[in-house]
Amino acid sequence: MSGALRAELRRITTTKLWWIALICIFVLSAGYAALPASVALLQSRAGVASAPFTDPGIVRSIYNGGNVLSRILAMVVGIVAIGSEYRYGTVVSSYLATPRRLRMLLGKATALLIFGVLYGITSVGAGMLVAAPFVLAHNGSLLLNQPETWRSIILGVCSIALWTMIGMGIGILIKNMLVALVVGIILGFLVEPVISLVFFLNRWDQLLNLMPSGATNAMLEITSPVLFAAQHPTPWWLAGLILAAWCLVPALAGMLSAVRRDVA
Amino acid sequence: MVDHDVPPIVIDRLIKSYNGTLAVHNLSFVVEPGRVTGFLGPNGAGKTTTMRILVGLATPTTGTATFGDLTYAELPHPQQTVGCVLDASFHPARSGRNHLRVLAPTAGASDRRVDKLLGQVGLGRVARQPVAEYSTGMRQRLALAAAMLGRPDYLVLDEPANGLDPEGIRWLRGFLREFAASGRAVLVSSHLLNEIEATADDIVVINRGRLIAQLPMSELNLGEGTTRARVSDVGVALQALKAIGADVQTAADERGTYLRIHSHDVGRVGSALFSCGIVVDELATERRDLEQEFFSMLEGSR
Repeated sequence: MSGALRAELRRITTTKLWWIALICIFVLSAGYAALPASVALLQSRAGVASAPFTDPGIVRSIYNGGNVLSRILAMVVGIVAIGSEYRYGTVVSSYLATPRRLRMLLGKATALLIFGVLYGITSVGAGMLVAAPFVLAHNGSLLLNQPETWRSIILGVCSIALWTMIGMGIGILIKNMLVALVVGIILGFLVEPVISLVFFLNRWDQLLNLMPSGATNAMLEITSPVLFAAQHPTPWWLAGLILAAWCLVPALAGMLSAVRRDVA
Repeated sequence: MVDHDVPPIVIDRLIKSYNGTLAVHNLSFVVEPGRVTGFLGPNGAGKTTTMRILVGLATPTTGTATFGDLTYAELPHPQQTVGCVLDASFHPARSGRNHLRVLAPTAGASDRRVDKLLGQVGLGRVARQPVAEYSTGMRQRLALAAAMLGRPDYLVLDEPANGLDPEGIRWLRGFLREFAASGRAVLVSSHLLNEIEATADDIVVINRGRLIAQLPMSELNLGEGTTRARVSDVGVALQALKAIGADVQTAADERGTYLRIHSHDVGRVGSALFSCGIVVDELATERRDLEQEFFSMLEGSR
């Protein structure tokens, strides 16, 4: 493992945010997984759907119920990882340690992706813990024998990890950390969901599929209406590419600008 | 004992302009190994800009700043080659020990080395406290420990004495002298001129981005005595003093023009002035120091 990567991992583990985010992701993911589970339960009681806990789309929705919140927290960790370096001026010692800036930034990106995977596993793990009692109490199936389920789980983990890159991109492009956090959270919690809701209510599936959340839903093949899932999603692999573009374009744009500019 | 073979730091025709304003203008000088080079100039002279370019934080408009032939970014092991104290910036929630541990992997330093250094700079007892609780002087010591992490051959220090108490300043002076004595190179800027006087072997003076002087401290003949005479008629006094063969020049301070005579013989000067019948307002011996020299260099550069 390169020195730059080890340095960046230590940079994350020597402040508190990483484990605060981890605990929040676990607790909130458990809560958010209960949401599609409860909706499915109510639908089955009302006779709208029969045996919802055998429907792969519903089960995957529960597993990935925490995704919508976890990815925002992953983004926050990404913003703070680079933003605090500007805020406290430690970016100077980072560049002095690794003057080939792209190497330093790629080290940071890799460290963030590693923590993003940890957050993803935590989020999906909490979702599975919540799913288990619902499914088992209603003669459902955890569907762990189906490869599609595992694909959804793994892609769920990856999508949360990718959202750290949106954060890193925003954190470099908006050098003021607090402004970057406000912008990121407003975009992630308000602007993007509202636009997605408009597309969802109008059934503009093609546009919905192009949104970060729509792409995430399509990639994870989840169908719960609670998460504004499109009725005609793009194939999972195409959705994955759309999400990757959303995450990597700002990160790469940020890195290329940071490599050139003087450190104030 | 000289046990390092270190090429000099070379600043070569360096120009840096910010939006058309020249912060550094065609600056060239050399920092020799085995010596402490003091980097002097008034605020805004371009010292910090020059040092930031030297370590790759800013790109020069033209010209180069290199360690031997290599720019900072080209060094195979930057932290093992150059130790820097620029602005002491720390994450307030990180402990001093963890600050060093974050920088350790790229410097090839172990946790043991980190703990040893913390002890050497006198931060052993507070090593695990967050930097937010450190005083300015403690932060400066931590910055010095970070610079030393990779056992570098060069030190590039911008105002390292800032916030240090007298004991810390004395420690730093001894440390820099010892570092240079082993054949390594030190470039240190400071606004504490008497500190530079006590530490530096060479000085580089810049003003408005341009080189004013580069010379060894020994050529300044500091400590040599002069006599200051403030008189009612400078012209008459000059003639009278030249008549007795004194090396004399006019100088000025906040109280006005005065004469500086390169002699400590107050009696001889006094009787020469008495014999030409002018009023003497002040007659005092003075010691030439770096501050005096610094201001006359800046005066001469205008």
